[in-house]
Amino acid sequence: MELKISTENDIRYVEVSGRLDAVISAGLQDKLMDLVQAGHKKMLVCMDQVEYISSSGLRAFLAVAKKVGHDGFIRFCCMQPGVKEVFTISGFNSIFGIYDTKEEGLAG
Amino acid sequence: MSRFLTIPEEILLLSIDESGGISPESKTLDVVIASALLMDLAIRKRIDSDLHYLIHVDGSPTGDAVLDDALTFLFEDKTQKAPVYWISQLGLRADAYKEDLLASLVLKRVLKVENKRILWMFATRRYPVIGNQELKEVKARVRELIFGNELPELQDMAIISLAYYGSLLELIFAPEEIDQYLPRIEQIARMDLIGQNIGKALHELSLSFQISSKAKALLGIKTPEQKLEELVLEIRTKFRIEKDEDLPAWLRKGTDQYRKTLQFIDKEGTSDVYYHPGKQQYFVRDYASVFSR
Repeated sequence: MELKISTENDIRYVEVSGRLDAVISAGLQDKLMDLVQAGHKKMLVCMDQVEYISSSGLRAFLAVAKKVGHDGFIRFCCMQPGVKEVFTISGFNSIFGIYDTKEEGLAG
Repeated sequence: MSRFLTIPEEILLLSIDESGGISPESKTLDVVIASALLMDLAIRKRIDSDLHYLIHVDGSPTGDAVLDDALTFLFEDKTQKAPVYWISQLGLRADAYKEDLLASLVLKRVLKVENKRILWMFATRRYPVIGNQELKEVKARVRELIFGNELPELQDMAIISLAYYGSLLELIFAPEEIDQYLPRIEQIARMDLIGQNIGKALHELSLSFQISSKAKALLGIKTPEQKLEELVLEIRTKFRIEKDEDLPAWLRKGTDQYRKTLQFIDKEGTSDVYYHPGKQQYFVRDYASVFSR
């Protein structure tokens, strides 16, 4: 899994790539938790290069969102259709802000 | 993850009524227990799932005897199959799991065993809750989640999912609370993909079971062979098993184990029996034999 992290408008912009299965999701969760621990509680996760997500991937994002709490947010942008379908079927789209573009995600 | 009770233990605890009997009488409970095992193993990162398949991740023991028995069973066949297949397969062993879970709850001093006699003749065994602390804690946790607006802990999400799809919500909420908070309950219930697969399976399996139960009542079967065929038909329908090879040996015609099942049914006079693979013994379904044999 590749993770690129940059900062835009005080928001951590996290570009994820690869398959978010059980193994990869655990590593991703650790890295995102590190960001939260460091006080970065506003995140936009770009899913453009993510072609697959399993239950573990969803649980990883849920755990990070719980850690963020009400002090910040975790949003998503640029999802591929297959991944978006998983978010929709699981109802995660009603919990997280999901945006078509990076600009929309940053603006919220 | 260090929790006092596992998800299957919590859902079984919720199903025990005030007198210590397992409630509801619902035959979907074994499917719920099978599903709870999968959910707990998923949270412990031993299995995973997507929209189509259950995925084997890590076969290392969890330290919980019941979960580890289910895990070993799952890892005996690592081919990709839909979660509903594994719900069926674990569901076939659910009577044994229920006994083992009751035994575990007694060991953890959450339940006690109480022997009673009805009309001085028929012995019956109940499992009253000791002190009610764990039961209250589970209910309070889940209720707080639904009445609030926080994101769920994974275990609470699983309990809500099982209660919602297994029609057990009334064990936690008053009917008017269910009406009022149904959108929030549904939202949390569908958050886990395993939970959702389970939901579909529970719905389909329980419908099939109702049909087979009606057929059973109409048939009025008498001989041990017919009783066993009836049991096999019931299990096939309930768990949607099409191929003979997917049946356990004790229900598969032509095996030595099948002949032993027939002998046990003949001896006991009922087809309401099951085989406990761990103990390698047959039992009549009364959830009590673990303590008495």
